[in-house]
Amino acid sequence: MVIRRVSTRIYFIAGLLTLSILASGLLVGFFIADLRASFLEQWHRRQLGEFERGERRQLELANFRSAKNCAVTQRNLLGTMEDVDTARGKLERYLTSTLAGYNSRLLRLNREYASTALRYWLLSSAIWKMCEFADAPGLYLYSGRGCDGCRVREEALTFVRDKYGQRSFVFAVDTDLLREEEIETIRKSHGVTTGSPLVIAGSRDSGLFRNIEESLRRVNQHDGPALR
Amino acid sequence: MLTFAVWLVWGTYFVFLYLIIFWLLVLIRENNAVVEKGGLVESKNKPSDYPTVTVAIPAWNEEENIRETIESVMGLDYSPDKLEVIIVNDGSTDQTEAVAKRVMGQYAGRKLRLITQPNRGKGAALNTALQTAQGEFFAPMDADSLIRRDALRYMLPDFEDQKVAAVLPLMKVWQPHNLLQRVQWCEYLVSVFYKHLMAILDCISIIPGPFSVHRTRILRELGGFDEQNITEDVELTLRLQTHHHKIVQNFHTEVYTKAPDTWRRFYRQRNRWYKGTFLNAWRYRKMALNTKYGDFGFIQMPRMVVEGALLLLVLGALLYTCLLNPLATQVRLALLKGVDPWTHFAQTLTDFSLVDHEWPAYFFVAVIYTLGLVLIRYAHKHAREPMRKHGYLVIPFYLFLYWMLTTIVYVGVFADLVRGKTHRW
Repeated sequence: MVIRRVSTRIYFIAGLLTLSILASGLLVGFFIADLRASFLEQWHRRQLGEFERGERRQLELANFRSAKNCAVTQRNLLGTMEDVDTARGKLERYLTSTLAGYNSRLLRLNREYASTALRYWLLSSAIWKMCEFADAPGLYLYSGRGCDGCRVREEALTFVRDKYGQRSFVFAVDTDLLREEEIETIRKSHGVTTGSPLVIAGSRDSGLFRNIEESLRRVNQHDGPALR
Repeated sequence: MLTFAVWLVWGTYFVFLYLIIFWLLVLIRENNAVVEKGGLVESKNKPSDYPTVTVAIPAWNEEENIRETIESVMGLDYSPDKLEVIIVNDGSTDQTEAVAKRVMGQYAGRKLRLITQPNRGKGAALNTALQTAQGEFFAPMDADSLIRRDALRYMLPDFEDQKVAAVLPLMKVWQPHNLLQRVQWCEYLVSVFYKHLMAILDCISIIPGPFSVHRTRILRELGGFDEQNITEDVELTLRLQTHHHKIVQNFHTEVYTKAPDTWRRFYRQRNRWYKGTFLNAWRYRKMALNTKYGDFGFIQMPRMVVEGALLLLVLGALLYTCLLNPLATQVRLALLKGVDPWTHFAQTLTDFSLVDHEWPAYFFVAVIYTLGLVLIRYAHKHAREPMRKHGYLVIPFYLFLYWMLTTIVYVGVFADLVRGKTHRW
């Protein structure tokens, strides 16, 4: 016959050790949560700074617009263009680095670039109207899905690029810019309801690149020299 | 629902970690004692002083294995006149009987008998052998197992302690040749080591079929094997524990068993084992949390009763929290936003941030697996088997995936229990 015992001491120590490991785990969790909070706070401050800078620019633009001071607004525009260049530079450096891949960093850099470029487009559109410049900026939004007319599009996009140069902006709406509010605002403000719209300054065309001749004709309707 | 699932997963982490720490503490407490014992303990008795032993081989449709098993038992390094072997052909419909008779021809003059009876199950076959056994010790031997020559000489000295009713050998998987068998090889070693730790607290919950040695007198006093039971070995163990008999895990000799090599065979075997264990644990549930049964009542019985259900709940909760719930949320969001689901999904995958993860849970799981690895290391050391013997893939597979595989078996077990489906040996 075995003399049965309950090893109370082992049960107790095992419980104590398990609880202490659990507590250590929770402490690690709290530490990481703290890191996360400070990281998010830093990120938030940076975003807030950028937002305030953009807001100041808009305010300046509004002031100078009322005063019709095109020289100052153009300087403002140049500042935004530098932002675009910086964002593009960061994106290009990342794309040529060994880390490049479809990941969250690429997504963030892409969005940063797109967002700055969109801001620039909005600003330059406003200045175009105000100062009556001959060169209008063009924004082409396209979808990468179900692209039956890709060849036609490529040709038309090259044409737009040649015609508008630095002032043309091209974005895919279905991936990188999915969450950009600006896209939604532009879409609504210009009444874009169908795919592939081209927004040139104040006007827009939709379903533009299904037929190349028609597309080129309509692009050429806008200001600037006809290329072909 | 999500909160419940998260609590459930955390609760299970806690229970598993507690159990691992508990057994490690048992190991630490007893480590010195084990070291002091040292080396192998071989019987120093002269052959004339050897006790008589009866080996019973129940066989049902074992024409492929019976020859090797009989030859293995007859090859035991033991006094021939003290060793009795009884083969019980339990109504086989194949050539088991003919093969057994042919092999018996090689051992004329030895105490070797064949009894043929209508098929009544393993318990009944063992009882048939037990009724006519003349040995002081009785060793059931599965017909698909092999034994080392020196087995009895190393196992019988454990019976010098009069409290000992049964001695278990170190059971290993015979020549594993695919991943499933290799993982079982690792599982068996860990299981044997656990039994060693359990034995320290008189907590062994199963005496496996291949060559566990019993005191014949005690077996008869307890009424032999339960003939209606699908896991008569589990039932007998629980009965021995109810009567406060001592069971010992021996590390000095080895028995080899042929592990299932296909998922289908594995599932069938485990379904019977797990179902039988659960049903027997439920049958003897009065022992649970009963101080009269000491640690067995406190640590083993609750585990045996709830283990399957707990594993099922954990797997379900993990699937729900880590897969189904996030997926459902993403689909819901994608539908609400009216965007292309694939684009949305791709973007969700890229929104991976290290700070967004459940680090406390990872830490806890890492501790569990590290301690689990320590136990596996000890198990291999005690079994004199290098961890890399069958490749390094086996250990991670055993640690991370094998429990899921066995949990799937529990799904079948509980489905069978709900449907009232019984199992035949």
